[in-house]
Amino acid sequence: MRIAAIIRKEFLQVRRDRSMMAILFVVPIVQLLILGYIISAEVKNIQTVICDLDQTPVSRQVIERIRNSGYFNVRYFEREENRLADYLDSGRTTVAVVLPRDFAKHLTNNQPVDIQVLMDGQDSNTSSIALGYIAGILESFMTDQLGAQLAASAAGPHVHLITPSIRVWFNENLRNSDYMVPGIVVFLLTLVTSLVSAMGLVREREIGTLDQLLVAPVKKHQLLIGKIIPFAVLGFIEVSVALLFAKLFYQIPIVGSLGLFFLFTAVYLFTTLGIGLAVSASARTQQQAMYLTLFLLMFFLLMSGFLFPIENMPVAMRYLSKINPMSYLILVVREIFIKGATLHHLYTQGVVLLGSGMLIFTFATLRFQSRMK
Amino acid sequence: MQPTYSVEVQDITRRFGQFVAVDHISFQVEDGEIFGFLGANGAGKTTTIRMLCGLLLPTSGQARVEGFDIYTQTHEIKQVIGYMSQKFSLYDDLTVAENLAFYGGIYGLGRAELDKAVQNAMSTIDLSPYMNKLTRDMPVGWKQRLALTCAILHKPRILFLDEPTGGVDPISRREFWNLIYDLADGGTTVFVTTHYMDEAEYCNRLSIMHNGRIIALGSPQALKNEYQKNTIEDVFIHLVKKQIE
Amino acid sequence: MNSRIWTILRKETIHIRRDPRSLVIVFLMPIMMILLYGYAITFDIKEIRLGILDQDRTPASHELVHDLTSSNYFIVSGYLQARDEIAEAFLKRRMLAVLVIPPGFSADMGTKAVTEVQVLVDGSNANTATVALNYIKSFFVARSLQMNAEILRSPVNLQPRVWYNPDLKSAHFIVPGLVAVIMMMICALLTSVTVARERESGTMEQILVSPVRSIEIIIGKTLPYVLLALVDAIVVVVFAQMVFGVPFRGDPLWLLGFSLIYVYACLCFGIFISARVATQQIAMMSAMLATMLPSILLSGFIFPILSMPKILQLLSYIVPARYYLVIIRGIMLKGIGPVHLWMPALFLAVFGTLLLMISIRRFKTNLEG
Repeated sequence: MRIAAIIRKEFLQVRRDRSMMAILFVVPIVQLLILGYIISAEVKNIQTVICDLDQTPVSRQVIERIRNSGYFNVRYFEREENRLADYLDSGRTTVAVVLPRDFAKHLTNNQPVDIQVLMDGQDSNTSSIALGYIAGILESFMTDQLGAQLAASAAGPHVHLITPSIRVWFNENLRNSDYMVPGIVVFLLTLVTSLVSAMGLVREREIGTLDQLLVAPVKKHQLLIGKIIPFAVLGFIEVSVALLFAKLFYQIPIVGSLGLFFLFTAVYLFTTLGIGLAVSASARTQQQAMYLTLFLLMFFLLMSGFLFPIENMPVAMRYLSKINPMSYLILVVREIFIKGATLHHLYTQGVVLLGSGMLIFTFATLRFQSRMK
Repeated sequence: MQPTYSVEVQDITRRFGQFVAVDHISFQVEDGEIFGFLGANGAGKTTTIRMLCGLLLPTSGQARVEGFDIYTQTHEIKQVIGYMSQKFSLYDDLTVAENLAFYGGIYGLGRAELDKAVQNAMSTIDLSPYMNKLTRDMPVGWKQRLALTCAILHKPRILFLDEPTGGVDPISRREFWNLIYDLADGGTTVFVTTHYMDEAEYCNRLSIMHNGRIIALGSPQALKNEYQKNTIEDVFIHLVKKQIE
Repeated sequence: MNSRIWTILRKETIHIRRDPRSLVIVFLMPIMMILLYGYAITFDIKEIRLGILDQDRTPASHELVHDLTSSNYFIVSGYLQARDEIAEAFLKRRMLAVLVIPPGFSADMGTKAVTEVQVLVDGSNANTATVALNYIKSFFVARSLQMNAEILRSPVNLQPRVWYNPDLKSAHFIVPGLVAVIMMMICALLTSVTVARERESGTMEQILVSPVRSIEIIIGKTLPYVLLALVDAIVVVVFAQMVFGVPFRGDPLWLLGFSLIYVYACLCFGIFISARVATQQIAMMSAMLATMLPSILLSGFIFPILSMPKILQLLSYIVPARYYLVIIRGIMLKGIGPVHLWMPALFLAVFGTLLLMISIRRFKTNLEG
C-alpha cells in the first residue's frame, strides 16, 4: 500500500507541526468568530455635527429626532456655519446638518424650508445610506406635521394613506450573521485547502524530498492521490469544526440537509485541491506558489457574493463571477441552511460544481505529470 | 613548554528533552593542531561543534574557545572562529564573487581587506574561472572549496568543519585535505568531524565518539598501538562493538 | 551605515533581482486586483426584483403596480396567481420580495383612511432584505404624502451637499482603500519568508556563527524591501489614478512620505512573523491569514468601523491598514495634509518600530528554540 504510506507521512507531518495545526484550525476559527459580527449593511454611529441657527423648540424637535433615530451620534453643536468645513476635513464628523434661521417661523407660515446637509461623500455607500436616514427622519417629521394639521382641520375623511404590512420569510429577525457566517465557512475551506495543497508539493521540491519520492517505485498517480487525500480529509475536518463553532457561537440555522451540504463540499474539494495542485505544478518556489494562490483567493473572494453582492456589479463582472466555483458553493450553502433548499432547487449549481471540479482537477493532474518528467 | 589550548572542554552535557546528545565529555585542543571527531551519525559530533560555535548552549559543564567562555562570551567567540558544514551554506542565486563579498561583509571586512583576503585564498584555491558564475551552476567539489574560502576570509584562529567532505568525490576530498594541512601550517587550529575512516588518519589527534561519549582519544598512531589494530577503521569497530556489549 | 547591515542589505537586493518571476508577480498582482476590485465593487442602487400577487385586479391596483415600477427602484420579475406559489418562488430565487394586493384594495382606498397591502420579503440575505424593506417603506410614505399634497403645503426640503466625492462614485472610495489592503498583504508576504527561507536552505546557520547581531540581520533584511514596496505603491497609485480617475486633491509628496511609513510598518509586520517561524510555509500562511481578512474587514475599507461592535472597534486599532486608509483617502479625496494626518502617520511609525524592536529581541542568534 504505497498510497497509504504517503498518506500516513502527510498526516504525520501535519500532526507533528504545532504551528501548522494552529494555522489550520485555531486561526480560521478565531477569524470566523470575529468576522461574523462585522459584516452588515447597517450603518450606525454616524458622527454628526449640528448647526442650529434657529434655536427654537421646533428646531430642537428635529434635532431630537435625529438623535433618537439610533443612527446618528451627534457629537458637536456648532454656532458658526463657516466652521463646519473643518469638522469634515479633520474627519471628526461625516455629516453636518444645518437648520436654517426662521425654520420654525416658515413652517408655521406654511412656507417651504431648506435643511442643508453636508456630507463626507468618500464612502459613497455610507453617505447614501445616511442621506436616506435623514430623509426618512424628515419624512416622518412631515407626516406627523400632517397628522397635527389633520387633527386641527375638518379635512379628516379626505385623507388616504397606504401602509405596507411587512413580513420577512426565512430569516425573520433579519440576522445578518445567518447569511454571512456560512459564507465565511466556505471561504475558510477554500483558503485552507487550496493553500495547503499549493504549498505542499512546492515545499517538497524545494527541500528535495520530492526527488526521493520520484525515484521510489511509486506511480505518479499514486503519489498524487497520496498527497491529495490527506488535504481532502483536512478540508472536511476544517469545515466540520468551523460549522460546529458557527452553530454554537452564532446559532446559525440549518434548515436543510447537512448531508446535502457535505455532498456539495466533497464535490467542491476537487476544485480547490485541483487549484492547489495546478499552482504547485506551475510555481518554482514556495513564495511564488503563495502569491499565485493569494491572487486566486482574492479573485474568489471578490467574485463570490460572499462580501460583495454580485447583482450590484457591472455586467462583465457578473459574467466573471459565473466562472468562480466558490460563488456557487456559497449560494448553495446559504440556500440549504437558511431556506432548506433541496437538490431539486440546486441542480444547476451541482452540475456546474461537478464540471468545474473535473475540469480543474484533470488540468492539474496533466500539468503535474508533465512537470514531473 | 606548557601547550596553549584553543579549546578546553570540561564535563559538558547537552540534552534535548529526554535525549542525551552529549554526555559529560571533556577534552582539549591544542593551538595549531588538526583535531578530529570520529563517530557514527548521531554520536553527538554536530551537537558538540554547535555548542563550541555558540549555536547551542550546554545543559551543564564548562568550555572555553580561544579563552572565551561559551556561555557568556559567544559574541567574542564568533569573531575568532570559522565554520563550515556539509550543507556548504552558500547562496545558490548569488555568484561566487557575491558569496565571497557577503561572507566577508558579515565579518566586517572592508573592501580592501576583502580583496586581499580573496587574493590570499586564490593562491591556494583558484576560483577565478567561476567568479561571475552563479553558485548553483558549480560542481559540488568547487562549491566545497568556495564554502571553505568563505569560512576563512576573516582569518579565524580556529576553524570548525562539520563533516566537510560529505557527498564529495575521493579526489576532491584529497585535495580538500591538502588545503586543511596548508591552513594548519599557517597556524590555524582545525577542529573537524567526520565519519570517513581514512580522513581520521589525517588528524594530529583524534577522539572517537559513541552515543554522546568520548570512548577513545589520542593520535591515530597511539590509538592503533593501544588497541593493536592496523587501521583506525579496525580500532573504531573494535571500540564500538565493545560498547554495545 | 554599519557595514554588516549594508552587506546583508546588498545580498537581499541581489536575491530580489535574481527572481524576476516573483518581481513580476509583486507588480502585476496589485494592478490586476485594483482593476478587478475597482470595477466590481459598486454600491450603486439596483432595482429590487419584485413579484406581484394582485388579488384585487382593479384599475387602482394596476396603478399602484405601475407607480412602483416607474420609480426605478423596483422591477417586476413575475406575477403570481396564488399565495402558495410564493415559497417556491423564493426558493428558486426568482424574486426578493412579493407585493400582495388584497381583494378589496380599491374599495378600501375609497372609504378607509388607512389601506393595507402586504409585502413578503426573502430575508435570507439580511443586508439586501433591509435595503429592500427601506425602499418599500419610503415608497409608501412618499406616496401617502403625495396623495395628500394639497393638505400639506409646507414641505421640508432636504438639500444635501456631498463633499469630496460629489457623484458618490464607489470607485473613488474603493480604489484608494485597495492600495492600503493590497500593500499590506504584499509587504507582509515579502518579508515574512526572508528569515525562514534561509533557515530551510541552511544558510542561516552560517550567518549565526558569524559575529552578526540580530539587529543587523533584521534591519538588513527589512530595508531593501522598503524601496521595492514603495515603488510598488507608487505604481499602484498612479495606475489607479489613471484608470479610475480618482481625484488627487492633496500633495503627492506627502502621500509619498506617508506611504513610506506605511510600507515600513507592513514590512515590519512581515519580519515580525519571520523572526521566530521555522518554515516558509508557516510564515506565509501566517502572513496571509493575519493580513487578508482583517485588512479587508476591520480597516474601514468597506465596512465603517464606527458601525461595528465596540470590541471590534478596539481590535481595529491594531490593523495598520486602518490608518493608511485615513491617510490616502484624506490626501487624494479630501486634499488635506499633515495638519490632519500626523496622528495616523505617527501611529504607523510607532507600530512598525515597535514590531521591529520585538523582532530583533525575538530573533535568536543561536539555534535554541
